[in-house]
Amino acid sequence: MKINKILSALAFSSIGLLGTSMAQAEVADETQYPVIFAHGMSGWDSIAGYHYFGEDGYGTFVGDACSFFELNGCNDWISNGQQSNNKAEAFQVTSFNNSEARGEELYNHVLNFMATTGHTKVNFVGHSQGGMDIRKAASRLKDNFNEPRVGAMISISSPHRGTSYAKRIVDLYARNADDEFCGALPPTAEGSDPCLEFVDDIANVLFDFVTGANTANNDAIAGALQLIYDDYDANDGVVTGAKAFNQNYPSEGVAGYVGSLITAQDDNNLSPLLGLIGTAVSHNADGDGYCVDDCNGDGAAGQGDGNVYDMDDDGLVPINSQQMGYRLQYTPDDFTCRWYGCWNPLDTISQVSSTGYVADLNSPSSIQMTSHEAVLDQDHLDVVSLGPDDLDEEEFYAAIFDFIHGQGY
Amino acid sequence: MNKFKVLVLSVSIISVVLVSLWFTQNDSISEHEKSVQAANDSATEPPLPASGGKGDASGSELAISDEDKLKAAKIKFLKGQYGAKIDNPYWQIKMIDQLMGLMKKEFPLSWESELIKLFHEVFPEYAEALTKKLYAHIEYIAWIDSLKNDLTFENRDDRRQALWDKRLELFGDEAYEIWEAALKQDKFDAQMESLAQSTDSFNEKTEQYLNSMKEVFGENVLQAGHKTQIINHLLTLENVQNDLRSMSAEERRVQLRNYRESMGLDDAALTRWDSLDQKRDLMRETGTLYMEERNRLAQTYEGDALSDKVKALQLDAFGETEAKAIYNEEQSGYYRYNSLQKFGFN
Repeated sequence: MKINKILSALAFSSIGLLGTSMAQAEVADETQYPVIFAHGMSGWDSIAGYHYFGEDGYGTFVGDACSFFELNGCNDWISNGQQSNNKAEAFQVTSFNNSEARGEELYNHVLNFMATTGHTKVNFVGHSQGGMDIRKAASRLKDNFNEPRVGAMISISSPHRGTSYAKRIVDLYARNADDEFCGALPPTAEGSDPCLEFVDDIANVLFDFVTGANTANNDAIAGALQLIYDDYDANDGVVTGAKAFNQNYPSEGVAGYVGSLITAQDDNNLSPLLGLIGTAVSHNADGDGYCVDDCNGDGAAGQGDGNVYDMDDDGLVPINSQQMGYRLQYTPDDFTCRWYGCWNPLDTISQVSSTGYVADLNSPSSIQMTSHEAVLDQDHLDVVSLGPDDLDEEEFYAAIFDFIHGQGY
Repeated sequence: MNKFKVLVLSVSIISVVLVSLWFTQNDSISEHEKSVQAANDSATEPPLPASGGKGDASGSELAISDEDKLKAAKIKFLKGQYGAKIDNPYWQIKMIDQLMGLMKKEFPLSWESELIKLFHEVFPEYAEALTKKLYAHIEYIAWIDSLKNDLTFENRDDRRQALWDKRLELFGDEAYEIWEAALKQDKFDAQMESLAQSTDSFNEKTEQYLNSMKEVFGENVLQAGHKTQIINHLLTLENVQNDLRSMSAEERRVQLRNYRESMGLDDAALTRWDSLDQKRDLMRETGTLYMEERNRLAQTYEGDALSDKVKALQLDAFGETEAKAIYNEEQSGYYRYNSLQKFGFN
């Protein structure tokens, strides 16, 4: 147990016994190692603007404490040391590409970070495809230093075992008029993918809200193929997909703690953008059934349970694709009164025991693919700054900082 | 130590351990147990609402005095959290946004009126302004939500303009304070665009960059964290990379070191960067030769024979560990050494 929590408990118990009510907010404990955030497909970072890992609509980076940005932009749920000791950072990688390329970029960013700050280990928090990128970066760090250099590695809403939406998009939009697969075709004279229009549309919607998107070196087809479980085309000369990536970059042996937060939401509550994608590809994932590998060929491991309306995906990723390592539970904790008084405690992240531990990403158990336990009722974009939604991103990520600290990292 | 002292010490230790253990397990005990414990532990106080004081559904279970106590706690919390900066529009909106989430959970049907009531109780002198901002905020987020369905904007500039038009319409000039970070980012982006077109020397560009950073984000920008990003952001510009490419290796090393030093890095950090740059340059040299040889092999062999030759080449050029990474990447279609080196990044 954390000593400062013990002291807090004693302090509050004493006050409670004196009959005094307290009204106070906690802050997350400072992590031992810096937390590096990795964005999803089409994501972005920002030096001081509208941040991917930020508060909806106002752009505060969740890792900026209030001692440095006292006015107009800081997270008062995290400790000052998290920032003053250079322990929170997000790096931008190519918006659309596979995780081999993006993970390599992230790895290089971390080397830069280590050179600048002197830190020798990091924690990773990755959203969506960022949850796959961090596995490659962690593996490369281990190779480089001959030992693991990642404390906690946590994914949020990540398609570790693919998503049927990606396959639908590739099936429908990554083929030209002759039904040829664009991934197997040479690039155009401009060097872009020949079938980028649809993906460009999606990117425009996202990027128009923000600045600094990294659109150089994009390979949207490679990015989409990364999110399909199996190798998409046996004849295109490359081996793509989440399954091969999982074999090359397992979560085991590269980090001290591995966990994942899983998101899903009712179709009626999805962000309009996600609804738009679902409508465009005429697809609603059924993602809470079990089978070995991609038995039904929909692009994601597992299958459905016959009901598409039971919160089995978050608008982009089915729940049976998301667990890596331990499943984590997020518990919002608002104004509350306990025996020691009334206050506003920090939200919490805890480890779920009933769904066990996914060690081999390609071989989860039935319960790990089908259980709805601890699934966070948010859509794929609610956990980042693309609101509006009812998630308090600042407190949510502060709870993750606190959890990582609690794991000793 | 006499027996009495031992006894007192033992009781103290056990008490501390029990209190600590109780705290860790607090969430796992039943709500009923919490109520009972609350009543027992605080003899002079009435039991506090065990459910966390949530209203509406559970509100009827609360005694009036408990509701008052929770309300008093909220007021104390909000005054502590926001009191010193409540005259700032950004923090007003931030508080409103936080409270909207909380009040919706506590009062699903009447959260708006309850929130306005709370404004009057906590910050009576700002209640009117806060109420006005609440409605503007509700309208703004609804508009943002509808915007995500809208693909009709021609480009990012158009959409950005629409965002600012809406912000100014709803919040007036206070929008500039509320979205100060976004405004600064816009200003900084414009300066970066100008810098991207500059034909000045590398040294002059670094000087202009630092001045821009300070002008937009303040003199203390280098003390505010994110130093890695701040330093490398300049190096993302293609003309800056071209400057570095045109230098000899030694000149580049000196120039980069000077630049990083001017951005506040100490000797230890500069030495780490020197070492990283050097390692990357060596890897790039190896990688370039590898790609040349690989392309030559591809003109001579094909199929399994090519695959075997390339594998052997990878092993020879990079060693076992790195060769495995290169192999995986090429299998996926990614060729690390096909693109130009980006100094400061790879």
